Amino acid sequence: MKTSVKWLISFAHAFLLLGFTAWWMNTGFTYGDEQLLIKWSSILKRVVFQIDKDPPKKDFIFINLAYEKALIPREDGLGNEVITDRDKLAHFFQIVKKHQKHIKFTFCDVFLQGRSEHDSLLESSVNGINNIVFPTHFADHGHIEKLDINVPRAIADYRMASSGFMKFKLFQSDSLPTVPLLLYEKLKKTKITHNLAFYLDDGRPSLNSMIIDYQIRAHELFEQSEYPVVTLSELLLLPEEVMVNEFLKGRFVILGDFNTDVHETIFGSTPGTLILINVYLSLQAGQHLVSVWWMLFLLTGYLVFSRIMLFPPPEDEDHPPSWFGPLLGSATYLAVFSMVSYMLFNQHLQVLIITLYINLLRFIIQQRNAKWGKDDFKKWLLELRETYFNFQ
Amino acid sequence: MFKKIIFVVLVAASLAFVQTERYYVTFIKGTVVLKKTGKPVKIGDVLLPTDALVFKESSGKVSCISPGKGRFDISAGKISGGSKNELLAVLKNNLVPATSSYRLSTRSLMFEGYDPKSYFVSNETNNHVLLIKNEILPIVPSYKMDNENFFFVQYVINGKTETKKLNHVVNGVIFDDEAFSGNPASVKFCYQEQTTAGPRSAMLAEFIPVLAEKEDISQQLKLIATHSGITDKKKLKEYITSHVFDNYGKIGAREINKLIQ
Repeated sequence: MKTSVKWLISFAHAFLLLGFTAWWMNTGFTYGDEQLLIKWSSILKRVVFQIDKDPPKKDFIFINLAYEKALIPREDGLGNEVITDRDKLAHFFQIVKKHQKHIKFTFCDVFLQGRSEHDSLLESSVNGINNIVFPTHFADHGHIEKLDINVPRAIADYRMASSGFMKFKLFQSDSLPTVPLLLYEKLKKTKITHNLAFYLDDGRPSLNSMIIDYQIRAHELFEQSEYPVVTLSELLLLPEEVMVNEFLKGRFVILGDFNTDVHETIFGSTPGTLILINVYLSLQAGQHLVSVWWMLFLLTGYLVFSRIMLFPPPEDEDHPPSWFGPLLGSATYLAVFSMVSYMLFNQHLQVLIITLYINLLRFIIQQRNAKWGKDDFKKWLLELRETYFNFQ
Repeated sequence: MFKKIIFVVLVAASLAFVQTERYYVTFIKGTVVLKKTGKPVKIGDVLLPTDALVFKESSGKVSCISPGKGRFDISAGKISGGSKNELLAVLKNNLVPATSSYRLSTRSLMFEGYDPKSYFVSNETNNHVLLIKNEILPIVPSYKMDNENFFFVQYVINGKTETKKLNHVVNGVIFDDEAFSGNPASVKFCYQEQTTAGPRSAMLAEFIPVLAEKEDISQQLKLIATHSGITDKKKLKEYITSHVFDNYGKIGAREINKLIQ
């Protein structure tokens, strides 16, 4: 076959790999080693290369609601259940409402289900605040949960494979936006639109599913005190003018239970509220945007990869076709490819699963002219499974 | 007879450290006096980095919040060194972020038990979890435990699937020799509950068990603690925790405490 034809086929194959990558990254699944790769890419960038620019500390205040609890009677039986103290929330939001023009945005990560005697007070306190959002979730049957208090709401769900949170889908429902998307659209005054599988942020191509970069990590909040974390009760002790001028003015106010609402991520246990804020910060950093340079980088990477893998040199007749070398080589190539993508474009790639496909394809190509029996294929599959299949 | 102990805390000796930061007092335990005025500190008072506090009791504590740094505790009990019952310390040694204890427990106010879904998962140790034989591992009360509701483990040994019910008490499960035959590579931790539609089982987590006797681990940790040369209790605990995680597997913070008591 002519070299030019080989390059042409590789070029077409690169588009196939690009499409596969886009589809795989858009799913909720993660191949086990990809998670490890993403974790180590992040550590390499942030710890080894010290590329770790934190958002301005003065822009945020985190208000922990872990100790602001109240009891309400159970609706489905005897006894009580614990909810966040809505009386205190109502008092806080009355102050927020009065000074809302000085506050960037308020995200109150409290799921308002269950009825309490303070609901009408809370509703009237929140009513009239423009920049505020509460979370809601999908019910088991796929509908969105109805809140017992009428407040601005957005979806705060994510799908997890088995080993912790990694990807977040920006669009999960046609009727309600997700919390990070709503924050991004409101604060940046932009709109992300979608048509079938194509997403556009103000006309620029965008991803729907994001592997988020944790700009604010849990240990920066709770161990290093890089960002202020206070409790609501403590804040309400202060005179209103002190609370507003020193703690709330010009800030993004984030309320949530940072003790119990925690989820496993590649950076360890992280409060759900902080995950959502990090998704928003990733959006703000433009991590969802698909740039021309990134596309060219991907195409070039896949073109070279396809050329090497699809057209291997002829095997020595004295030795059977090797599978381990190409397997290791392709995994290394794709791992480096993913890391370079993250270093240069701040975009993690989920590409290791391609190793399986490309090696199967390569093996079939190599075996075209060789003796190919059922037992040979079975043996090869077993060896491959024992050495590399590692789904989580 | 109460023996008066006076602790003096310089809220900050170093002016370079958050010089303009203001700390609003939100909680006081015991009698704490602001040295420059000689008056007791009250809730709502504003402390400056250069202020000195006098604690009248060793159990005294002041909590404060600052717009830039968040929440801090200043505890008399955490101050060390000095002489004649008067101890001096600088801000960065005494303003302990009050949120630092949030990570290891689900509810710092009242520990009710571990949630199996998160307890038996550990990326740090590749899912190796240290189980202390015949000790009660507290489990959150949301999992009822009686004859019909219980935890069980399932694993494959020599090609055969084994399912073993775990012994339990009201508030926790017990891992003993009966639970594990052989040395399973991976174990599914499951819960069976009695529902109106009959018994229902669910897998909560999958992990690699590392079973050990309490005495063995405890002795080893005490030996390590003795020869570590670390006097700071917090650092020593971190050091021991790191050793257990590296050499055995994940274990809860409270279980570590029990081992090194």
